[in-house]
Amino acid sequence: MDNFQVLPDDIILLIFSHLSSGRLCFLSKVNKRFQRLVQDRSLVRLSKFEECYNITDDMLLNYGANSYPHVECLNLANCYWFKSRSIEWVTSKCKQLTELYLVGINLTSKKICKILGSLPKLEKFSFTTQNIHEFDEEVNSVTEAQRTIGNLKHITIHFEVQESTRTDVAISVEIIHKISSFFEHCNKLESLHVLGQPNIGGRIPRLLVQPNVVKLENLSHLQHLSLNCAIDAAARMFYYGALFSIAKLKNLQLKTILNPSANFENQSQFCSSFWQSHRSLENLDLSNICLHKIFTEDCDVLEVKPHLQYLNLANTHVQGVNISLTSIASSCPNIHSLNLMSSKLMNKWTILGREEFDVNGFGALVRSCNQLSHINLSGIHVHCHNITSEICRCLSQLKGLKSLSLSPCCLHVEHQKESGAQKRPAEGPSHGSKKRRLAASTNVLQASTSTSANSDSEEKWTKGLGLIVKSCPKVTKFELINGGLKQTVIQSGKSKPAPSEYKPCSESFMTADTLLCISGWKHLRFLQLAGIHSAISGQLHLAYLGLTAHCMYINQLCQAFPYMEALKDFRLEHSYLSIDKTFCTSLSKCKTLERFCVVSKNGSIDSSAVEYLMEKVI
Amino acid sequence: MNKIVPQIKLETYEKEVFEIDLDIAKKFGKLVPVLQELLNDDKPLTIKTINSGTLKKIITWCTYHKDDPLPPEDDDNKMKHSTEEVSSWDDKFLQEDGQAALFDLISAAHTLDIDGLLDVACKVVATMIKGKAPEEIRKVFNIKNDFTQQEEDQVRKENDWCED
Repeated sequence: MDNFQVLPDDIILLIFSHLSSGRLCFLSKVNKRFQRLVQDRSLVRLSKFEECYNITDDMLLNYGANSYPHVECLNLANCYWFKSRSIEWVTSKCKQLTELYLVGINLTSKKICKILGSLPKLEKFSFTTQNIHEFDEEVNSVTEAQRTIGNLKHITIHFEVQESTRTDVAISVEIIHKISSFFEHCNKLESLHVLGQPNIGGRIPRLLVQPNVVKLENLSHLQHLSLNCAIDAAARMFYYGALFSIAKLKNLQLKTILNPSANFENQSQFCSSFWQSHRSLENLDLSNICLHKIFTEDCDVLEVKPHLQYLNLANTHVQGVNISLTSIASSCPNIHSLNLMSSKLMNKWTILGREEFDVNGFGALVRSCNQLSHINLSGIHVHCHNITSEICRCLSQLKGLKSLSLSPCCLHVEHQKESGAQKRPAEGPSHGSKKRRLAASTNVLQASTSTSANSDSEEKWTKGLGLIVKSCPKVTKFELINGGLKQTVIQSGKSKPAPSEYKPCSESFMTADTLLCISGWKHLRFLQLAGIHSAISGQLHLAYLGLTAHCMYINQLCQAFPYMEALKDFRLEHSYLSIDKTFCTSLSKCKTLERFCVVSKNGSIDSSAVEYLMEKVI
Repeated sequence: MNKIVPQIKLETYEKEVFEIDLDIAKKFGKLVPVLQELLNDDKPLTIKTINSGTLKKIITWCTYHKDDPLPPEDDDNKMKHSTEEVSSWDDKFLQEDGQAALFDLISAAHTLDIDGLLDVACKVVATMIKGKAPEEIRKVFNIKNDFTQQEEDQVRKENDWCED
């Protein structure tokens, strides 16, 4: 008797619900019961073929011929191997379809319109286009497609426009205004997401199209607008065209505006009034912008945004603009997620004309925005102990903190008294910096287990990362990144830009004790330790760190080995580890290693790599 | 009510009686009200479909996950179709006693309505199914092929794609 026989159908369906549609096709061959169950409506309803690389066209066509009428969501995103004929046939059978994802598949505008025309119930649609102008023309001639588009609530467009290299003489960049855009047929559109290519190299598109919208009032339901890669000219042109069009609408209340990078230089007036009118904003991305190009000096950038939950200000320059941590604190009380990566916003100018971390502003932020759960402070370096301890104290007040990203130097807190065991600091990288004693966080771990009532010693134990680990138990994602890439900056008075160089922050080293401290986070799912050169002394034991089945931090660990200049004993326990050549080679670079132990379940070992390591080490 | 920690009693298939702290038993979804009624009763609740070994494991699991926060309804991290979330501890715990024990645990978790355990155990089984051909699946789970030759030919014809 097999184990599945003891289980009722609904439990087996629960197990199957964790499998992709492609996998279910295999299961139908196992036995009659499985064959019957995989056609259950609850499984068929959401059919996902994304990443099911071993599924062929025939299989797609055979996938429960009876099932297609029950499919409500069909995800074929990035299934580029299916023939367009198969896709057309399958979609024509799915009469109940409300969601269709075709992004990443090359389909002609004609086919897309035909598919759209056959799906009157569709509400969510994503697709890839090579020529949006052609698509517009096609839509204008197919009435059925227009009707479906009229009902769509969510559209995602991926631009994959034909490109030519810069040296090509025949480039003609056209901006077409003539025909009306498909965009205009959308009566119910709530969200528009535009995807571009993340890297276009030296190529530029042959054709740029700015959507021409005549009947603007059709778009008055629009709430969410986003652009993912502003580097792609075609996607950008379309996105800003749409944005400028709808900005003319009087009563528009946008909730999401993501990544409208720069490109606004001559429209400063328009922008200030545009942003300010949106009190309902929930998600706002202003990353990679010199804010003074958008906002005039006297305008209050963030007016009061009571609903704002997500704010991305990564890589922003804020000189000459009225925005600071304090202003965020007062205008966005309900913010959940804040990205301040390398933002100049974090700094204020002292009387002496030096840039310094705005610690008071940060304190105010933490006090008034107590719902903050995701914070990115990476790229910000603080080398003053009074300030780092204040940062740690502030962060520890965010009891609901879930993800945190920062530079290791922000965590170095000097202890007034030092424990005897840690007297001799390892000869870590000196880099000309003054000698400093590092936080001995084993003490912190002891503190959390001990029941000492002595508040005086308690205070000594709970500093730096230890304090945060103890106070914010819900953290699931943690990143310690020692970025040090100095970007090319054209300084005034100099004609040549300074070359970009990689110079890691010399204060950003970690002790093994600090790393061990991280294991106090029971719910941790993602850990990234990047570029940390460390003064790890003696032992590093990582056991069941984080809750993911796969060891996500192994690459970072490999990168870190050569810098662990005092590591003698290394122990790593994790499921699904693969001890391969990369791992062994990087481990062999750790010169001081005397003992290592790797415990893994369902892992793999490359024995020749281990032999190589033994040879090197001995 | 002279006890500090209220306990409930469960009797297993082997007629063994287990005393379980109420704060651990609160993981037992629909059963909680029933159990609370029994609190003052000295007679244990008999659950014949669960054996002692399985109940022991369930108590261990519930104790380990006692302080887990309840997953919020609209948590964006919660993706239904992902098995990445099974923790190393759970993975190890669920698989250490072999497949039969795992399936017993699933049945018991279903009976006692322990959502968290049922969910994680189903994910583990789903992971076991992943990446295997139909024949391998039959072998791993000891499933009998009940297709006749004729039916199998039919299925094969329909599913030619997965033979290569």
